[in-house]
Amino acid sequence: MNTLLETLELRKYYPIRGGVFRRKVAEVKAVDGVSLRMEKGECLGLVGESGCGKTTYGKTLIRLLKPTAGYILFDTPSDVRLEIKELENSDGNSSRLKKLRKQYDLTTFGWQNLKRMRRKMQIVYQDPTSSLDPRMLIKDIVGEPLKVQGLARGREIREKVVEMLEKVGLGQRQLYRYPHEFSGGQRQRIAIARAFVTNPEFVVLDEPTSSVDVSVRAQLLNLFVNLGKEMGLTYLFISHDLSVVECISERLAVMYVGKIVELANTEKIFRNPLHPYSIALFSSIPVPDPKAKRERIILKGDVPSPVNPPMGCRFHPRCERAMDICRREEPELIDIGNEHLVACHLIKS
Amino acid sequence: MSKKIIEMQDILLRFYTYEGVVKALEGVNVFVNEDETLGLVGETGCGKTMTGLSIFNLIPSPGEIEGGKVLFRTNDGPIDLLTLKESQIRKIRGEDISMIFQEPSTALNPVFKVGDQVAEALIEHREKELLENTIDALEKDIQSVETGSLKRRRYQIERSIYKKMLKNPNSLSMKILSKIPIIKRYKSRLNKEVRKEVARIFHEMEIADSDRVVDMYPHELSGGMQQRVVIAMALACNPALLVADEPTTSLDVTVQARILDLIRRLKGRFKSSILFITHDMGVIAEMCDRVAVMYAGSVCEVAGVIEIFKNPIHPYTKALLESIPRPGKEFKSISGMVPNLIEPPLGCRFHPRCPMAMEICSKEVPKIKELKKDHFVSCHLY
Repeated sequence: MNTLLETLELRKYYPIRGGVFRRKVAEVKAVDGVSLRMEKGECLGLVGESGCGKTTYGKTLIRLLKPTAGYILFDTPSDVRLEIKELENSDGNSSRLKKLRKQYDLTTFGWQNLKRMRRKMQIVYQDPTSSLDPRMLIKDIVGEPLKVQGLARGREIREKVVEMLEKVGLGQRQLYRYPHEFSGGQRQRIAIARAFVTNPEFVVLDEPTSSVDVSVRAQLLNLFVNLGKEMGLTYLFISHDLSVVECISERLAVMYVGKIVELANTEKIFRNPLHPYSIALFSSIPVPDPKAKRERIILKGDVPSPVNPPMGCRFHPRCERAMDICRREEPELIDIGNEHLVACHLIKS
Repeated sequence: MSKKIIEMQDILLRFYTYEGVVKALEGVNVFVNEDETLGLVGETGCGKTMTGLSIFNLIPSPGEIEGGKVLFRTNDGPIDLLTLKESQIRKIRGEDISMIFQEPSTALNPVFKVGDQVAEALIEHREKELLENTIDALEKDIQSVETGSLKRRRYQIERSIYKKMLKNPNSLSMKILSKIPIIKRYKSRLNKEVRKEVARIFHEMEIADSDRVVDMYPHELSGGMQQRVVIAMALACNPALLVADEPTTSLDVTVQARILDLIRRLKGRFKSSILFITHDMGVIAEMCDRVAVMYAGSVCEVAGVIEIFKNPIHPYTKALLESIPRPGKEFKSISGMVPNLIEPPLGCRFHPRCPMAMEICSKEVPKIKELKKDHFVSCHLY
């Protein structure tokens, strides 16, 4: 398989300013060293509780936010990626590394290069009511990316927009309407059309189904699967609805306070989660079967603040099986075989 | 068979808007038995919340209940809540029936401490009990001070004021007296008692550090904690019926699991019946004894929870259950859209989307009938 996108130790800190001179007094470590790889044509699920940095990661990934540190390598040949990793480990300041970063690393790109890349990476937001401009006609909303990217002109734009709208289950009749005239599900379809009209390679789906009803949710998920196959897309599917992620993604990453704690094949991780947080998370999904027996692990306490994450393993204050080492050392994400990655001291020993 | 604690009969609810008359509820018939949890499921806009609110007679402004009865069981037999006067229903709201709202952050007032917000319900409904507690505490204080001392005299005055309050808290003399600063200060003893009670309730809701949380503002609490406060408010007076309107929809799964667990345990302790409104079939399967499925303003199927998952009868229930994503299966959706309730389809409101629609479905509204024991369906197929 070919890797389409890879992040290395991606970090995004938000400054908290205070005092008379608006000095930086603290940082919200929203994303704190996330390394993920997305293969061409796959759908990677990213789950976690609200506030764990899922959306920030998704937005940083396509450079809607400027990362604090780390690499984003989009469509980079595998030998270059290897070389970058080697150089990063040996000498972080070599001129060769700088040159490679300028060419491939999205974090160093200026706006002109980014604009070129944006055609290939798109995002569908959670709430279509706020992500669609209420004063724009549907034809303008969906046609705008084409105009900005210079992919089409005049009549061509209209043709492409109609074609895209038909793909998402709308049509020519809807061209001269405003977003408020549509239902929630249809608005989300418009948002999807806008994201997909530039023929992207990679799309971030940021909780695209959380604002719609169950019956509409199934329609949208089908649409994602079908369009994904048709256009050969790679998805990052961010969600907190685990039952949806289970059905749509091939691999699944579990995030907790800015860090990935477990990453594996979706089926495997649902059947056999290893990290104590994933175990608790998966056990708390309500099962739509009244006779199912549940052994629920109920987490005590609250999610720690990303301003001052706990020392060592970030989960240790809530973990039932926390050991001494968990308080001191931060566990690394290690492969325990079959591409199953876990960051936990228990698994290591 | 267990007794019905509340029964709604043919509720008719209309909203008079500029665009037309929204027929929001069209003959809703449900009942909740003693000590059971009834789940109410349906899509957005099908009238779940409105059904819950009509129990309280709290329908927002352009809406009007135009027919039907809400029979609530009391010691003197059932009474129709819809015919009660505002002052009478105020007594029932919060005390006998209370509600947990969907979004805890909007259900709480941001400018008051959460403890005071819970105390409001306590003072409204349980003032007598709290006054008695205060007098008891005073009595103890009086015993501990030697006779004839000035302190004792002061305590005795205090006690007489509280006793007067107990007799008639809204009397004119009490209203005037409570304006006098020195007497106003005496009320602090009652406030202390209320605070203690609130902290005790918080402790029961498993709020960590409950003594401190009493003095916090809503924004200082996490979503799960806020929801606990809202639940505390609802259970403060030990209601006979609790209407929980999507209490966990805005929360994360792990927090949701905790809150559901809490509600389940509290239900056992408080012996309340629950009307649980949700759109999540998973939550229904976990929490409820019986389920009522709603579609476009009317109830289409009511049955026991195991029965409804095993043998759904109404085509909408079947479709709803099939639209739950399950791994390895294709996503099935219900074709078409939820009808506009200003001009709902004639006859059965589901017929335009129903795969098994017949001719009669577009003409006649199906009546709800009991197919098996405790399994009610409104569909022409049966």
